[in-house]
Amino acid sequence: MSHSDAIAEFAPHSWWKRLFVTLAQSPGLVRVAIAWLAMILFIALTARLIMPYDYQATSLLSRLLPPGSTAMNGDFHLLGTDHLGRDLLSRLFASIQLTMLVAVFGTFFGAIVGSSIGFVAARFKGWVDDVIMVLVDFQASMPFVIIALSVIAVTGTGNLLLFVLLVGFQGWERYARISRGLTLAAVNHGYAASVRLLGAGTMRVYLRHILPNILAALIVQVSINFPETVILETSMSFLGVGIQPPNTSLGNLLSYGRDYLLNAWWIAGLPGLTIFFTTLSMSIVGDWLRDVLDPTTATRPR
Amino acid sequence: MTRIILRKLFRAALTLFLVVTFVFFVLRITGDPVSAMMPDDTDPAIMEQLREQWGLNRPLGVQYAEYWKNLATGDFGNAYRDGRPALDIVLERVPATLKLTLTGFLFILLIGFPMGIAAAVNRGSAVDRLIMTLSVTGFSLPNFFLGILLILVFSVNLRWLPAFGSGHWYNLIMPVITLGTAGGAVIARYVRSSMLEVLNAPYIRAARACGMSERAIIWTVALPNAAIPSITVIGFMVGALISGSIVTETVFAWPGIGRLLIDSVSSRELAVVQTIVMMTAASMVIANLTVDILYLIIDPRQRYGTGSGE
Repeated sequence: MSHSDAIAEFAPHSWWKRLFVTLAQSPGLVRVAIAWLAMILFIALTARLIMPYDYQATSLLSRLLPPGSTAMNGDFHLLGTDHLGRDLLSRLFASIQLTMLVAVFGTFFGAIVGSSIGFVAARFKGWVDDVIMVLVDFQASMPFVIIALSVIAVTGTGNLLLFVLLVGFQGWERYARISRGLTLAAVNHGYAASVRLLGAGTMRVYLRHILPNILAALIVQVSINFPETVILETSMSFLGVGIQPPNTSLGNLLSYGRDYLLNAWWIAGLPGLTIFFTTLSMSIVGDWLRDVLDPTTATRPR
Repeated sequence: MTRIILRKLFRAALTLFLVVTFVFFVLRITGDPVSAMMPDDTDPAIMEQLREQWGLNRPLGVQYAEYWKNLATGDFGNAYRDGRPALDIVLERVPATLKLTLTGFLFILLIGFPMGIAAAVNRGSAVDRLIMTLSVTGFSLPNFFLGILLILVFSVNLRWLPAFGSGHWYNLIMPVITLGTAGGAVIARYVRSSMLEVLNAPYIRAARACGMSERAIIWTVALPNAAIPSITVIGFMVGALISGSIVTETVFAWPGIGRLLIDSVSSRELAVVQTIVMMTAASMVIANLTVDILYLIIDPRQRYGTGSGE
């Protein structure tokens, strides 16, 4: 049975149902990972409501307090404070919010753009396909961070929208390759030809009929790409060329904490652990999703 | 086989062509590299003079041709800060980065292969599960956090290793672990799955039927066959090492190209940035080409286009 057949077997409704059934049968580790991600998602959605203090409020009298201490003005800091006396828990919440925002928007932007490029290649074939495939090969042979850095060097830092789009572009070539390959295969299946004979337009054939059939493979790719996007964003913010103050990302927090490793490990340690647990959970859930959605590609593609 | 190699060479040349074109146009995204590079309060007369000097007033096509001519003669432009040729600035950082990435590469192979083999041979056992858990942990751990953890444990608490410096061999230990852990984890998974595939092959059963010992089968039959596909990952590893060295060099204040790139991006030294981008592209292309040709030599099936070449 070929790759596309295996995926075509999962009609859109049946695999959602399947997902819920398998969720109930998932291993304990996967459930812990899902719980962690749910918590991160909750924090990301409600950060401004649940943060105990203003994440930008400085207090020079309560600098570098360890976790669980009460400041002189009576404020309680569950995770301590940073070098400017800002409440670390509040900063962590604000950072989780921005990091997740960039990751979610970036990932979906990249997925949509990449898959559309793949669709276009498969639809028009010929020289359009050739040009797109050359670009795909080019992207695959260049580390993405180098490309992102060269764009940032020219435009300068501090443009949040540009940064989200740039981070999102990471991995577009893999979506393009997958959607192109699977679309080419799907077009040859009877169903695409049938709906076209029934008078469906190109957009309808691709979006209503082919897309649902190749969605499982694209979701698998999203699960691989999502943690990579988080790591790319936090690395760039860590290096000082990503999110800029007064905004804050987990990468920024970690980077400030680097200067206080000697006397305040928590400033770097806590955001670092947050990133690590989040990417780890995503990998665990992603591995599991891959096995559930697509039994033919149980191993990680290169 | 010559035809396949020629096609690969053409692809490599095409990639380099695209990189140069990409950089040329990126430098002009904002319309004008001069205003991108200079502070906002620069005297307009000086800006105009620079535009004149860099030929930015001429038509785009002429500039593009000029750009190629300059690159062909090894002129990557001068750094804005001290006026030195960008190529010289980059070249003097190459040895430090090579030292780091080559050791990192060795480290990746030294942890990746044994772990992958051990996991495949003991498939389903506690060893396999432990190694796979380590592997998932390894590539989920962002390298900048790993670097900081290492500094926290070995420099701050235990005081065994210095947090930065690059003069001694022991300065390499933490940077190399930081750089190589994720790659080693990926290789371990890759070697495991290709070993498992090979171990299921009919010729392994045949070898067993001939009475070969299990150890001899693993080392003399399975491993060489499983190692062949792993060569293709090496090209990918070069890219991972280059991007990993950017973070690693910044965390450990390592005087290499990665840190130079970050410094140059922050201070908008565009000439240095473009030189690094092109050198990276060139090394990636050379690495991929070498891997492709090596693969053709080692695996005869590839020469007739029956394998998974393209």
